Amino acid sequence: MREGSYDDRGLLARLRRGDPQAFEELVISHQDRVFGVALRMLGSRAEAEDVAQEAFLRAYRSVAEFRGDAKLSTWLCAITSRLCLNRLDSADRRRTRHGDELLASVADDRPDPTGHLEQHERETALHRAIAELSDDRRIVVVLADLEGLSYEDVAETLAVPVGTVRSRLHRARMELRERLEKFL
Amino acid sequence: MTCLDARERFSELVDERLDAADRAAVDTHLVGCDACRTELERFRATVTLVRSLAPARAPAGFAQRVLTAAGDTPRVQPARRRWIERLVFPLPVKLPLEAAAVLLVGVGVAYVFTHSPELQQATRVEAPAVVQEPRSVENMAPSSTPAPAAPPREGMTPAADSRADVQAPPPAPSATAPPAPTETPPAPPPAAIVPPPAQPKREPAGSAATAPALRAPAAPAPPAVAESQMERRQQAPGIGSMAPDAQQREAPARVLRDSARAKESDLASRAVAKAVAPPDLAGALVVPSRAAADTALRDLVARHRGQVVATSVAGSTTTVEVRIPRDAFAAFVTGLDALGRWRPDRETPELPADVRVAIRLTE
Repeated sequence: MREGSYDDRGLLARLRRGDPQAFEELVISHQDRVFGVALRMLGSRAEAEDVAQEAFLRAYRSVAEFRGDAKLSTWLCAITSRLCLNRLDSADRRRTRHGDELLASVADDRPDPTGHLEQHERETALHRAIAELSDDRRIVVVLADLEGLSYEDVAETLAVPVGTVRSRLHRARMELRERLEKFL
Repeated sequence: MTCLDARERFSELVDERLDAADRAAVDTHLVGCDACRTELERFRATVTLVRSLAPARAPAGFAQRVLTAAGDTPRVQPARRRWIERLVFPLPVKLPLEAAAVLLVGVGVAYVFTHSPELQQATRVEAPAVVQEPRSVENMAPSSTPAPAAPPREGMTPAADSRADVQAPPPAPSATAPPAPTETPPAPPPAAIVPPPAQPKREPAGSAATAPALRAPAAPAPPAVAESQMERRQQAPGIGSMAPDAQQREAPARVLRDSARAKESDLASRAVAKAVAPPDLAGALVVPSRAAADTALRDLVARHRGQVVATSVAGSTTTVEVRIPRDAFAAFVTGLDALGRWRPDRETPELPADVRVAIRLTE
């Protein structure tokens, strides 16, 4: 789980004053999480980078209107999640079940799997299984299991009740458990 | 506890979110159920596998590209600050202009006031007019339209408008008469605009749910209409036929009636504004079949002590506006997830006691 290492309120105050260094700190501290959410949701590094950049720019433009009643990371995740879900919903987006594209994208991140064929096969199956979840279930798994957000933070990010988070996460995990049967 | 109940709690068990009672119940079940113990182990392994995925890293240079793009992006100031800045800055230009504008308005008002005898009279005469004694009513010519609550002209008395008052009841004994009983009946409560908390939980589809809201605003109108019709009918024969002391007692009644009418239209317009205020929450529900989902949604609303407020269809989208008690809202949203893919438009605001939700059904 990645945590911020600075005071949220202090950083927020500096952001509101237009301190350019504050924004740089925000980007550097949260870029992996924001990019990671986008990548797991969209399955394409290029799209993930577009969405992640747009998420930071939206935060930059509207920080004055952010009430500060949530953590900065939760707020950024909320912006990123909305952008991803809107993009996935758009009618003209031709989506494959993007397992292969995601694997190709994510594989660039990983060290050379030579000599770890079984692990590679397991991770390939895992990426594919996550990619094949419905958008609503996938975002909950990404936020809760991959990014380590609590149920409450996920609920706040997605603007749904905690009960809905619990239900969707459980359904997603049950679905993953069936798809990954042979690796368990 | 059944196997199904136990397995439904596996996520909370793995995340250590079960309360003590549920935890004890699950543990007791697992002790006696090999199948569920095996299933739990597979479930835990799945969660562990998912969590073991290496975190993604932003590509090299990403932060720099964002900072560069941000340099070209205008920032949004808080609304209040924007207003203040627009009013005040630049100082050397805005302040003199605004001072001149204030001065000009003040001079204009003073000029209009000093050159308008009617306005001066209005400010002088208006207060005593309500209790002024009627005079020479018999000599006043009837006019074709009833006067509204306008200030009486010099030489005229409020009773000159008493042709509007002829239908009033027999005069009360006191000079400062109590309000007449035929004074405009109190307006139906504004709640009439909003469909009443319906006892039958199942609402008819389509326009019936909107009918009460559409019909209700008409309700306050008839008494006022009937009264003005009465006024016109009574005009010709009425003048001069009332005793002077009766006319005097009618003047306060007329003022009260006029203020009641003003209150009615204010209440009606506030009620209409309430009816068209935006819902507390809106979102899209993507479903396999809109018709089936519409029926299932109404069942869901009924099961959660809610009420369907309105339904509208626009193209391929059916919008159903519902009202759900706050304490049932969480379970209601869980039910929405079972019907299809529920996508709220924005973060959930602080919910009122009665949550109005607009649900757009699309296929």
